[in-house]
Amino acid sequence: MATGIRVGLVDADSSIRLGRRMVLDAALDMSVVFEEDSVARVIDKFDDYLLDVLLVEQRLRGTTGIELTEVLTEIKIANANNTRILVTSVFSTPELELSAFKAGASGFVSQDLGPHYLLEQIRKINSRSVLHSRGELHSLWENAAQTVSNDVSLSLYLENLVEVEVKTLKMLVEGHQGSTVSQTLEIPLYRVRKSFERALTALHLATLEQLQLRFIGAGIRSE
Amino acid sequence: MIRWVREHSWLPEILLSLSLFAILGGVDFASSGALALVPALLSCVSILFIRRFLYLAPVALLMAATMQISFGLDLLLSSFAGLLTVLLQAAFGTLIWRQVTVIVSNVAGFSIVWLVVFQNDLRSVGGLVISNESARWILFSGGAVLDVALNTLAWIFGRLLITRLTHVGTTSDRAKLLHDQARLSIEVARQTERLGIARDLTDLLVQRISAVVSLVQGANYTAKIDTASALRALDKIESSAMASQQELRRLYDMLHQDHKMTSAPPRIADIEPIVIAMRELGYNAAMTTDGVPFDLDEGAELCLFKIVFEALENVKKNTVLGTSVTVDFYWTNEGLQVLIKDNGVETKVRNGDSTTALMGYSVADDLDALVRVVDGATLRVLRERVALYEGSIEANHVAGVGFTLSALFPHLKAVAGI
Repeated sequence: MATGIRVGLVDADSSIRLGRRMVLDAALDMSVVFEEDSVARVIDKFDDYLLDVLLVEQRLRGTTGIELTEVLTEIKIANANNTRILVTSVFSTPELELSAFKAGASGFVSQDLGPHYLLEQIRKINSRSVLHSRGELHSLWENAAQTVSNDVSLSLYLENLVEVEVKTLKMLVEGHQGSTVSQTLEIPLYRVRKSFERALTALHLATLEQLQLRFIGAGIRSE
Repeated sequence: MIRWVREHSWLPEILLSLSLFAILGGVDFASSGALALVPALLSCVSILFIRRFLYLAPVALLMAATMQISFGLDLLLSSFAGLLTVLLQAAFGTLIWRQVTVIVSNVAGFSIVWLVVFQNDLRSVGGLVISNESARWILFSGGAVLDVALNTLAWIFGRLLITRLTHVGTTSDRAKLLHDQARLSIEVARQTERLGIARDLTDLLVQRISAVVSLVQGANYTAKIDTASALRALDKIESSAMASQQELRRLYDMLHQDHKMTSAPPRIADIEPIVIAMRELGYNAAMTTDGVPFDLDEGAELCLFKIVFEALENVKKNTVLGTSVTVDFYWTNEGLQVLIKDNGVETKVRNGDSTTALMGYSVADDLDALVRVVDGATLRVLRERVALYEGSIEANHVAGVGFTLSALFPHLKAVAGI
């Protein structure tokens, strides 16, 4: 039985997978429990492995890591799967990074950042804490030359919420941790979590990053 | 034919003038006597000045008309040489002089019609009897209208001719263009195909290098705790690196094979056709060589070609049609100077296209030409190229005249001679 963080690897190249596996296996707090090069088999088995973090390489046979992430995110939403997806790539561009977050990835790591950074990101993602502030994602949004447009479904959803729930969501989108939101708004932590989960379900999202990007894309700011 | 005309400065005009003088002068001599040869000669001489010394064409026409009137001669066939001058100057002349020529030709025509109708005691024309003064005025008016119509027609035909030659081209020009387009289309298709192959190979390379990096990172992590794993990783790294090398070799071979196939860099000999092409576009381009050229390697010849090519492109971009541009090669025993001069500003002013037409150029322009450093991306690249051959390049505005580019290679023979 694997201990620590259960990590999966999706990469078309066996040598890259071997290298990654050596790095991950050398870390004592994580183990590779799933390794696959076929996209079809990944989709088929994704729900069976109880993975904590799945590393998806951008370069895959017949598709891209971001497209696979979109499919896996749908599976996550449909089956309440809590696996977090980390997209890896040889190179990084703002467009690619933003696309990964929009698709449902919780993180993005390029190879040039090195194995230390990869391990650090896996640990952070697994901790379920808030990883990115609104400011960070907003910078990414601007660097990728994205424009702001009206988001009717998000606006309607926020209009139908009570004030404290709107504040909760806005604080989470800003990048505050759940405990901080709970203390600031003087509400129990489980209510913060419930507000967040309800928002994800209502807006058909899987990650906080997706929610943050919806707020940024709609031009909604916290007061 | 038109290419031959443009390649030669005086010969076409001289041949045309002599032919016309032989035919028209001969007819006039037979019909009006020896005196008719003088205005015939002057009318034919006016054709000489359709491209050079344009101001002499209206002078010759005016003198021909004056001689014809003073000798009291009737209508001469050689007057049609004047119409031909109007036509050709409308095609090749500058704006001001083609206007002056057509006005002079009209005035000369009026004067001759006046002479024929009123001074030479004309009694009948084509069987119609001229009975009174009113009939003479009607005849004069008709003659004047005919004169204006013929001159205008010549003018319009001249403009049409040059417009067609410049913008439409001859049948052979169009055929050549089609041929070039077909050749370029094939080249573009081939390059696109090559680009696709290069992209695929680059993708493979990225994959292989990425694998090497990944394995090195993994080996680095496991070497301390599991030596056997590290050794396995090293084997993998070796095979992955070799695979990368093979992909790189394929990419290298493909790029260099194509380089050989298309590696016929332009040389100094290829400058002449460009100068001729400039003439065909409507510029008075000429190329001269002074001194004894020595053989250069391909790189130096390409460098010289690039300098002239870019300078001529600059002329096309920044001057008006009719600008004179000269490309001069001054060869010495050890070196070479290339001088490309144009009179774009002067031509623009002369054509009346500029608001400074009446002002010439000011002291400020003069000072500006002396102190302003001409620079630009193309010039910087040329400087770098020229520096490879221990040369220098200078670009200057010449106030009121145009632009001069000078490339000096004092030790070219030692550096690039073969």
